[in-house]
Amino acid sequence: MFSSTFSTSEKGETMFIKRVVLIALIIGAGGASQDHNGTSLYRTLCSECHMAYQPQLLPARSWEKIMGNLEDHFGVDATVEERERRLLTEYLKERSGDRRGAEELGEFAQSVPPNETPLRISETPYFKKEHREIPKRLVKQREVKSFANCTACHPRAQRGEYEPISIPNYGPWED
Amino acid sequence: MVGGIATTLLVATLSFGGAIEGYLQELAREAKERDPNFTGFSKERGERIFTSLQRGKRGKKMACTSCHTRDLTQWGEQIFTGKKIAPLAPRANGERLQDIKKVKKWLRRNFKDTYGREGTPQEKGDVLLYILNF
Ligand code: HEC
Ligand code: HEC
Ligand code: HEC
Repeated sequence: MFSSTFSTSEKGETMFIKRVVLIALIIGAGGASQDHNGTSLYRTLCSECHMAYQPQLLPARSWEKIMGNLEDHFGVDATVEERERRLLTEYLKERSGDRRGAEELGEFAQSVPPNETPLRISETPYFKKEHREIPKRLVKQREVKSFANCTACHPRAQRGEYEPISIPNYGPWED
Repeated sequence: MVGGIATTLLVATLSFGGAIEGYLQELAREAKERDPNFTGFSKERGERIFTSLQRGKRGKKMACTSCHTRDLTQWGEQIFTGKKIAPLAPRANGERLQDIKKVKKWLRRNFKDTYGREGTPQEKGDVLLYILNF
């Protein structure tokens, strides 16, 4: 159902490389390798404590706010070097879900009213709507802990695939 | 000179080799600068630093063991996100304590999260010695 340009699947990887090659042919290697650096930096530095969320899941202003306070990142220290912080902020903003032409996962970011800047994907209206039927205890249980743990219920989430769905101690979720 | 003494001591008693040895020597020099009576790192002190309950974060008292468990040859878990953490002991996980930039980053973050402040050079050396010997 849901797939996106931010994908760690092998297919995604190949597509990514093809695109890079194309861009490299057109504008020279500089811009393309920058793009690739951003991706690997993001997948390394922002997947240490949870999966690297697809940038489309939040609007650019949310990423900016998150990246502006890594000292107190949801209560923990997630600081990186200043150079890395700036690169990551640009990377996330360029791929955020509120830009024009954002793919399917952009529904999360686009559901946010213009005067709000949520720090959590799980606070966006679209997320809340999609997850409203799930009993709280299934989220709070120790195998999940919070909605931030997408991969607990969406085992392929890191690849940008949100199906199949299976909740620990509950099993497959059928509509 | 002073640094030289600490370095000799460490080389004589540790010899883990590689980048981590260099980092321990750097920490030993800093520890000696702060405290002239510093004679070397201790894995017993390191164990206390690693296992004792501290102020923690998000209203939750924490120790290094909260995420890494008491058995450093086993997998741990980030207590807030549930993400699994590979074993910390180099004898169980050959990738640990190889990349000094990574070691410094996590010691900074994890001391802040557990102790509410950065670790001193002596504390960092003690705790690394504990992990290396686990
Ligand atoms: C040191 C650990 C750590 C690192 C590194 C880290 N995070 Fe987090 N992150 C957390 C914790 C803890 C939470 C909150 C989990 C909870 O309680 O629900 C969180 C939550 C989030 C959320 C909200 C998820 C939701 O919808 O509930 C976003 C977005 C996020 N992190 C982005 C990032 C980005 C971007 C980076 C890279 C710069 C990053 N994180 C690096 C620990 C970390
Ligand atoms: C406690 C388990 C759980 C967690 C954690 C969770 N989800 Fe879900 N998610 C579900 C369930 C169940 C559904 C289907 C709800 C329904 O159809 O009523 C769903 C639906 C979705 C959908 C729609 C997919 C589809 O094809 O139906 C997306 C996209 C999604 N979640 C994204 C996320 C993201 C992003 C995160 C992490 C920030 C997350 N989810 C965390 C359980 C979870
Ligand atoms: C809130 C959870 C948490 C706590 C508490 C915690 N750590 Fe960590 N620690 C992590 C995570 C996450 C990583 C990186 C995960 C990975 O590399 O697999 C890490 C990595 C490390 C590393 C890097 C090892 C390497 O070379 O890869 C060291 C050293 C370390 N921790 C020591 C400590 C010490 C000492 C304490 C107590 C002061 C502590 N940790 C407390 C979560 C924690």
